[in-house]
Amino acid sequence: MIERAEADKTKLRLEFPPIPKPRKITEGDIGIAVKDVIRKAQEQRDGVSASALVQSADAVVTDRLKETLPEKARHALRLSAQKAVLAASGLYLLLSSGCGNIEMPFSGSSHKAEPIPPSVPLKQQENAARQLMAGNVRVEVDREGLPVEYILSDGKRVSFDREEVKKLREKAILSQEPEIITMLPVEGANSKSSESQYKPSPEHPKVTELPEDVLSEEELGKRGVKIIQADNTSLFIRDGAFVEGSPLADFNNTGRKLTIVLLNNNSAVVDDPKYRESIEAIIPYKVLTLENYRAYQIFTREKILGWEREDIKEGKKRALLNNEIFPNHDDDLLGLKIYLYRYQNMTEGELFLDQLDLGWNAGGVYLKGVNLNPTILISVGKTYIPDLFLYFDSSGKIKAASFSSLPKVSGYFDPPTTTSINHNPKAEETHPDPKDFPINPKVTPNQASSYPYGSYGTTRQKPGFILRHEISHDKGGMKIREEYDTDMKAMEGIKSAWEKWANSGFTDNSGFYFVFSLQEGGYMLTKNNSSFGSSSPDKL
Amino acid sequence: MKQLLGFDPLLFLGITNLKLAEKSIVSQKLLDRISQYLTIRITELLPEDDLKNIDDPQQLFSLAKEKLPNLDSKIKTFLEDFKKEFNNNLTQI
Repeated sequence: MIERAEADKTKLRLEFPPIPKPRKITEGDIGIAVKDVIRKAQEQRDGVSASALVQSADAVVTDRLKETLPEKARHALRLSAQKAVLAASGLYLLLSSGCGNIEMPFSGSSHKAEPIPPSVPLKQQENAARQLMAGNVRVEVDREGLPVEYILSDGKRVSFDREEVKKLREKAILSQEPEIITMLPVEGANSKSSESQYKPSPEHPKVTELPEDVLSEEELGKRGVKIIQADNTSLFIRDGAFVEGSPLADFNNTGRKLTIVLLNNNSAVVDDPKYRESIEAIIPYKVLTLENYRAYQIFTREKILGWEREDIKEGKKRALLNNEIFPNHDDDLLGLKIYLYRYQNMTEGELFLDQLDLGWNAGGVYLKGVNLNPTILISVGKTYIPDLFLYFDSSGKIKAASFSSLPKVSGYFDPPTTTSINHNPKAEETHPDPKDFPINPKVTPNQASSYPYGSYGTTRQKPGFILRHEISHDKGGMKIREEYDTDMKAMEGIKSAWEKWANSGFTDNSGFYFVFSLQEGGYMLTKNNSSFGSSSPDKL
Repeated sequence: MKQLLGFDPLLFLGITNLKLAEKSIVSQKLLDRISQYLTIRITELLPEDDLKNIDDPQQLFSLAKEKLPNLDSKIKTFLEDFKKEFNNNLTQI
């Protein structure tokens, strides 16, 4: 039976005209009788949604099945479970040959029925009728408007499940809402490039060899520091970092342990044995397990989607923001559904990074458990959120959307301002000069979670400064230094190192304690550029 | 030889308020449900032993034509029943 929820939408009393006694319908009949039927039916059925019509038909079938003997019902189900086209062809056969004189409203020249798609061989269907370009991704679309496959710029081809996309299109049309087909694994137009031309200078020389005072893994281990290196870069720590007044003095064979984890932001991180130990140590600190986190995110997004639908129904928000009563609300729903789609499809690794906010808003995370031994995670790779999506609009037409380019229509959806951040260490970032770090004048010490040097937010944050920032959170014991003070303390270290460097005529770089290897060869002695983060929820 | 006429479930059920984009899919779905309904009703009338050898709806209709007298009028009744139930369901909304 029809769900009661549908009832409020369609308060109708249907009074259908009597069906004329069957006889062959002529053009003239269609002109008079059918038009009359159409006019009356339009008056009576106005407001009945497409989904209510289909549900009503479903109910007829299921009710009948309940009345049928179980054995017969099983046969009927077996036969009718075959694809719609086949079942419909049975009806055609019946009407056209076996029981040919059944007269009912037929398609005629003035009222053409929608033709049932013939059973087209698969190969013929796969011949794309047209192409849709989404960025540099080519999407092959067949004659029925369904995507067949997409081809990435490197030639990689990914096929769509035809039945799945068909169902999605039906859902879009019946619900009159856009439906996400897939995200395209490419960066969007809103990715911020951080490429620059590095020209070595006396102040920022090219570093081709590791400094002599870099400590080995064994030496670090003896002092209490363990580093889990990434596949694209390695961190080296110099002896000076451990002397009194330096960032790691509290981990210089004091019995306290520090683990530094470099993450290249790949989503397989959870399954990587080298990360496994540190990740298992971290997860209990978080309230939610990964799957609970996913479920919570999906629940929240669906709730928001529900609010959006209510607003659309009432037409209020649209009228306020767009000065229209019934504007196209696809963009708003699309943005919310993209968020939902992302959480539904994230891998465990992606969920892990998302839960920590790592690689995106946070370039680093400081975590301290009950044993007071902290773990610091530093993002050293490129993070991007998928920006290009394929979807069916509310009329069932296939389209591509850029997540970050969607207009902000309601208060429920904020398009991302950028879609790519690169934390990969770079040669030009070596020997950081404090002049490259202008303080954000809008940030004050009294603000909660404020970052005067921008070590939080969707802008590029360099691993060297982030590392100093995260280490500066540590105050020993249960205490943790707050964000503002942490940013300031990290900058003190940069200033001190630069003074030593500049005062020595650019010969003494011993104040730059943290050294990262570069993918192209060589090293960099930590630097951050200026970028102001937003005041955002605190990280540990 | 009879002309193959397209049975229009939308017109049969008096549905005319759909948008153009909805028509094709709704029409297809309704046709599917009507086919299922006819399959059920015809199945009810055929002997169990015969049904075991039937593999698809076309065979079912061929068998029905052979075994059931006045199939034309039966089909017509079934379709009218479907329409009646369909409309009943809508009025309960």
